[in-house]
Amino acid sequence: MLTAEIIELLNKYRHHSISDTELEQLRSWMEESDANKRLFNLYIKYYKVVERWDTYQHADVTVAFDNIKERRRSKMRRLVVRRVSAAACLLILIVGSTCFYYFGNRSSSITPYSRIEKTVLLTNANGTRQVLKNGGELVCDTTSDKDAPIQYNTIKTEPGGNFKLILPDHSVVWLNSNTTFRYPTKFVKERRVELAGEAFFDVAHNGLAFTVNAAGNNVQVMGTQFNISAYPMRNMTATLVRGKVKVSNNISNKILTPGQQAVISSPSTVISIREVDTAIYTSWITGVFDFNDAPLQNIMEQLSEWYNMDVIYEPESLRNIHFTGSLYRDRSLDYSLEIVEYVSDVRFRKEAGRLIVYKK
Amino acid sequence: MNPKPIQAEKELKELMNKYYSQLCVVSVQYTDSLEIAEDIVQDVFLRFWEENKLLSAETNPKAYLFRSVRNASIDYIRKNNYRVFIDIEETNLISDEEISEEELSSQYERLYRIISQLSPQERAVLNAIVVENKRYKEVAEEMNISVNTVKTYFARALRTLRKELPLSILLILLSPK
Repeated sequence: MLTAEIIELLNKYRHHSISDTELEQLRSWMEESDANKRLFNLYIKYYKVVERWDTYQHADVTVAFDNIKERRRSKMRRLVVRRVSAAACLLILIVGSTCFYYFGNRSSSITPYSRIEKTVLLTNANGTRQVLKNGGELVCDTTSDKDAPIQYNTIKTEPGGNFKLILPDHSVVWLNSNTTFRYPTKFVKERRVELAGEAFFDVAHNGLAFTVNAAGNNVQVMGTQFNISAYPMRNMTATLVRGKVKVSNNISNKILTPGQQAVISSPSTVISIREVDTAIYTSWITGVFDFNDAPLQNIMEQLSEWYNMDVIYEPESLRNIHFTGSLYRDRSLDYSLEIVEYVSDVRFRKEAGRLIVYKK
Repeated sequence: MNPKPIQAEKELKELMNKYYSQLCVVSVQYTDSLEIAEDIVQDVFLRFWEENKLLSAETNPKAYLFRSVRNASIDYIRKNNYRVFIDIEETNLISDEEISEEELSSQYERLYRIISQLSPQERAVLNAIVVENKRYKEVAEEMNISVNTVKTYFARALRTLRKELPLSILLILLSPK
């Protein structure tokens, strides 16, 4: 006969949470009679039938394939730091290596940029302001009164700053430099936030659609990981790491699959889609900017976000020299630039608050 | 480095389309978890891709994949110290040839026909009492019916099932995922 205790043991057995003692209890129950033994055997037999069919139906080969591709890509990236491509002007950058440090004290053509202490500003719905620590994190209060009206808070990072925010639904948002993010204190019926600047989203799945409004365009998801860069005067990009997102503006909408990036030049132009190495667009959240055979222009764009400066190329063709390597946000700008100078003919100088890139 | 990356990727996709679900079934028989089974199968495919074994024509990829997934699954349950009665588990594994949509669904259909003889109320009562271990009174309050009605549903459900198969089936088909 099945008692409540035996049923519990059987369930624990099946979910692999049974202890040694409990396993012994189950064994002695089985040894009590042939009927018990037969019952146990049928239990195994039937749940295997159910789980086999369940697995056959739910194993998702498309998701699996994307997963494998992404994992392979990120492994290859780690290997590539020392690999020189056939492209004549590809240079290898290994930033942050200690051996360079010994060369680091030579006189440089760069005027140092100071890294003053940055702040993050939180503005509540009622206008009160609160200064938060740059690089810190804030967990939204979810215990507030359910009947209270929805209010909107705004968080702003300074140029070179960054911040991590955990929303009331446990979605995580990393805010990059010079970014303004507006969000409600609780989510009812829908999840809608606004972004100006750059953020990486890890959206928790809870059945409600999550919509990011950025530069007049909408990015809508259920639960997923993606990056949005929407700075003024630049193309907006939405880069999908995992899951599925819908990007829409006034005139079109597109569905992204992992590894794809939507590029939008304005809310009333057609959205274009391209395949990208997502790590380049998302590695900033870890404070490390990884790039693989990337044009100097992309690298300088990242640096100019971190250190808030304009970049001028003399000549323009310097934009297209390619580099592979990593840069670290917690290092000084001088340090990063010296590495570039060290491995190439590219030189930098500061002029009237702008950074001039020129050739030796 | 792989000399023909695009071809290798195409080949990988073809193999995955053909065998992925079946391989997950092989693994789930050991791990009893869809997520873990998928992880194990993906690891195997990734390793094959990296080691460039997919393109080597002399091997039989199907046999190779099935063998690797089985070994990786057994390794997994060993490493994670799963407490199981090996002999009983082994007699309930099915062979690779039996892992087809037709066979798996027909095995499941047979079980399902029996359970579907129960009405939704009978199933709910059974689930509450047998799986969730609740008392008649609690179930009656939750379902907004009398204690006597709960008892009637429970008795009827047991009668139906006893005719057909041992009570153990309840645990499987009624327990929450």
